[in-house]
Amino acid sequence: MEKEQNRGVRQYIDRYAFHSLKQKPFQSWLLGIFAALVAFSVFTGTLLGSSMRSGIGRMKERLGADLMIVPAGQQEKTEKLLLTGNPEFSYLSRGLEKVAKNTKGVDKTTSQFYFSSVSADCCSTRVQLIAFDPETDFAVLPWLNREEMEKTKNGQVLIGADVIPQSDHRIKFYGQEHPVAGKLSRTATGLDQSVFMTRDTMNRILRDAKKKGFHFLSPEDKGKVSAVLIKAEEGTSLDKIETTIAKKATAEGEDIDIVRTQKVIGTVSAQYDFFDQVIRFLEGVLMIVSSLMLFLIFSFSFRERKKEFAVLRIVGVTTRRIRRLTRTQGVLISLIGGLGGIITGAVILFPFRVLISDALKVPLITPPVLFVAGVALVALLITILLGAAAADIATRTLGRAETYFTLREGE
Amino acid sequence: MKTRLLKGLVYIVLGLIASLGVATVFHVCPAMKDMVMKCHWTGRVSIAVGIGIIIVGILTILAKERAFADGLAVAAILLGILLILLPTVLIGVCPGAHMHCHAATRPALIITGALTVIYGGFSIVWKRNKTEA
Repeated sequence: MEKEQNRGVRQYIDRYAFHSLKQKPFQSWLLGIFAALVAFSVFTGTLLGSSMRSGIGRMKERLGADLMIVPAGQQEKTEKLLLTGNPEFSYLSRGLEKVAKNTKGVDKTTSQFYFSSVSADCCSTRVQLIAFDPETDFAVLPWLNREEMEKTKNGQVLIGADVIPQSDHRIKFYGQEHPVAGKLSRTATGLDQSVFMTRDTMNRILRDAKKKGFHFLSPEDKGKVSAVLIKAEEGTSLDKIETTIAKKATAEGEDIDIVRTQKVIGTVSAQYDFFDQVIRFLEGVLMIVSSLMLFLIFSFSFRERKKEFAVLRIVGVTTRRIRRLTRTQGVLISLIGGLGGIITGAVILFPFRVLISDALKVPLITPPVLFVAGVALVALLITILLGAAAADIATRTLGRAETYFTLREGE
Repeated sequence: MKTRLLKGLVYIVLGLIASLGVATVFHVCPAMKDMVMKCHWTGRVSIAVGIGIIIVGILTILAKERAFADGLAVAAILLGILLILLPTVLIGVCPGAHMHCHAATRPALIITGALTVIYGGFSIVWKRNKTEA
């Protein structure tokens, strides 16, 4: 019987908590906004950090080569190509691939040829086109299944994760449509905006380009490549390989630059560390300020409601139950605010992922749904705990003034 | 009056995002010398639709009749649907995922459209029994 009565009182208090929140919409909104800020900062901060980490991880995994030989003066452009997919190229002799292959410590070599489509009616979109050598390739083919590999060898093209084909699963370059063999998974690099093909397919596209009046190669450039990719043997010094190749190339009269992919990743990692620190700092500041504001607003609100609490005491509500009432209000507000903050964070973070990644110049890979749900749950729990704690502490600071005097206060 | 003002202001803010936002922060790709991409037209039409939503907002502030306010909410829902369809079905944006119209304008219009639809529907259903708007 007593148990039932207690449950009835608890339910009444919960309803009362909800109604009294509705009575003060401005205060409730303000509290909700700060609760939303806590949830927003925890949710977006954690997800941004994790997306950046997986982006850099994927980048390390997918940039198959250790070194890239590129024409002199192209180092910066190649780094840009790897990071942002900005197509601008010149060419070097294909013979350098042999030179690199015969260098001590080099495990594999392959060459790639870069050119680009244009933003005109003849092409679906402006992307970089990368032709690889299927005989020697170790950067693209390992990521394909057998069917995709066969199709690619038979003249179809492979598209990066950010390239959108036409509705009939074809892509148009220089007036000719090419069937798409498959879409590569996200690498979080400029390669996501690239289209890959064999040299034969490339030659066909170059012929189409010529017909449309675009000349990518001068006659003396035939048999040239844009870059030679090098995979070093385990434990070999890259410095040594670099110096040897540079010497050999100079002897052959080739002016080259050598790009270290690890260095490119290092630049991005440094950028990541910086943003990670900034995000953590902002997250911390937002959380502290929001928690403080929650506590302050609750304190002011409860001070205003001292008389209301005194009346509740007079009708027999215990101090413990009054604290339960304020805690319930804290939980309700932080639950609603927290949900709002998480939804806002998700609406900003996911649809604008590419924009954020481009603006920060750091690769972002969206984490799996389960992880996102987990982060959302943790952010919500933290917000609810903070909200409940702020309300509870604010109630305790009201002190234990005599109900009678509280009620008569100001008379 | 206070409720009407708040309701109208929400529409005005959404309309401003669709019009002013698309003209500034969420701009479409800049037009090339001799070529106008389709995102250019999406941008133009969404500015017009955004202005339409602003007008709906102003009328909502002035509307005293419940039925009129409901009619305005229906108009807002239709304009919201139009905002979603512009970059996805009706006109579209450039196909490159990293082009500004694809990375910024498209999501901005879809989110603004969705919010307009949700808010319009919400304001019709909310306090259905009240006669005054």
